Amino acid sequence: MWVRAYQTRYNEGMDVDQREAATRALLRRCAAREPRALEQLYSLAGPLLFGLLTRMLRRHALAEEALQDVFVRIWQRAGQYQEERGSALAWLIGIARYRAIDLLRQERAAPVLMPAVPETAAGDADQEPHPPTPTALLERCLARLSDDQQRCLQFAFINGRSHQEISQLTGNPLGTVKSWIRRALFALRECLES
Amino acid sequence: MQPAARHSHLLDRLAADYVLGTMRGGARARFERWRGTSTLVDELARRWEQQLAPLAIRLRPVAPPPVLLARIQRRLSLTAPTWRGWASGLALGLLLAAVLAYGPAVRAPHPDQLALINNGVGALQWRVEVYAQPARLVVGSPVLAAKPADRDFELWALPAGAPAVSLGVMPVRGEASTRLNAAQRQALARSVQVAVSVEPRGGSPTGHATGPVVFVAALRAPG
Repeated sequence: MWVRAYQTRYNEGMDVDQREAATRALLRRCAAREPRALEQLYSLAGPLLFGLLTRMLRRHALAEEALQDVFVRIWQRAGQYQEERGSALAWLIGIARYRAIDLLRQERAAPVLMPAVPETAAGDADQEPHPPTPTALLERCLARLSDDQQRCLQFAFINGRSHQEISQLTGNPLGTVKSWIRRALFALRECLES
Repeated sequence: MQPAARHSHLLDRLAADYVLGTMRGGARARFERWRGTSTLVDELARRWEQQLAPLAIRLRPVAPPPVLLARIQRRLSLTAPTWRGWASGLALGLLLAAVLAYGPAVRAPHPDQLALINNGVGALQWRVEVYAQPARLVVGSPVLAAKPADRDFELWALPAGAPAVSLGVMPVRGEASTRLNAAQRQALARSVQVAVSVEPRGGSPTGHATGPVVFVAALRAPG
C-alpha cells in the first residue's frame, strides 16, 4: 500500500498521524526560529512538496526554484500556522501549490508535456485499514467520479491548468469542462463528509 | 434557496475555484485580498484546502537535491553562525547575505566589469567588481548604507531581453565577495547595467525583485 511505501522510504517508523504530528512540531520550532527544525522539515516534507512541484511545473529547474521559495515562505510564515484549523501537511501543500500557480501564470508559454493522468504512488486503497486515511478515503471518493471528471479535476489541481487549457487539452467544450469540475468538487465533498 | 444561503453557496464556489487554481488573473488577486480580510472567505478556502490536499499527498514523492537546502538556508541567513557572530560583535552591520560567500575576497589584479553605484547625494555607495577568472563578485561599501531595519538591499544583473538575476544581498558597510554561478555569469555577460532593490531581510523570497528599485548603475569594463 502506497502510504506504507512512502513511510518506509521517507519517514521510517511513522504512521500518518505521527507524520502530521512531527510536521506540526517542526512548524512550531520553525516559528520559534530554530534553524535545525527547518532542516528536519526539509527532510520530512521536501520529497512530498518537490514531487508536487515537479508535477505542476514540469521543469526540474523551475521546480527547484519553487521549492526554495516554498521553504523560505514556510520559515517566514510558520508562526501563522494554527493547529486548530487543520492539517499541517495541507498547509504546506497550499503554500507550494499557490507558489506553483504564480509561476505557471508567468510561464504560460511552457510546453504542455504530461501524461493524461498524473502519476500517483502505487497502491490499492481498498486494502487500507479502517478507519481509512484521508488519502484512502479520497481515492474511494474519486473512484465514484466519471473518468472525465477525475481527469479535469487532476489537470486543475495537480497540473495547475486553467479551465480554458483543460478544454483544449481534453477537446471538450469550455462550458462542459467547467460543469464537470464544479460537479466533481461538490460530489467529492459530499462523499468525503458522508 | 434563501438569499443568504445562495450567497454562501456562491462564495463557496469561488473558494473552490481559488483553491483548485482555476480562478485566475484579477479575480484571483481580488479573492486573495478578500480572504485576508474576511473570516468567512478564509474559512471556506481553508476547508477546500484541507479536503483537496490528499490529491497532492497521493503523488509519488521526489527527493529534492540536497544542495537546495543549503541555498534556502543562505537565503534565510541561517548559515555561517561564526561569521554572523563576528559581524555582530564588530557592529559592522554587514549583511548576512543569501548568496554572498563569506571570507576575504580573492581579487584578480583588475576586474573585468565594474559598476559604481552612487547614493542619493552623489557619494560612492557601492563598488561592484566582476572577475572572470575565477568567476567572482566583490562588493565594497565604503560608507554605511542607510536602509530600513527590516529590509536589505539586493543586487541584480539586468541582462538584455531577460529577467533580472539576483547577485546577492549587499553589505551595508565593508566588503563581501561571492563566487558566481553559471546563470549569474551568463546574466552579467549580457548586462550593461545592474540594479539595487529593497527587499525583505535575507533577500527577495521569490527570486524576483519584490521591492522598489532604488539604484541603477552602468556595468562596464574599467577604463
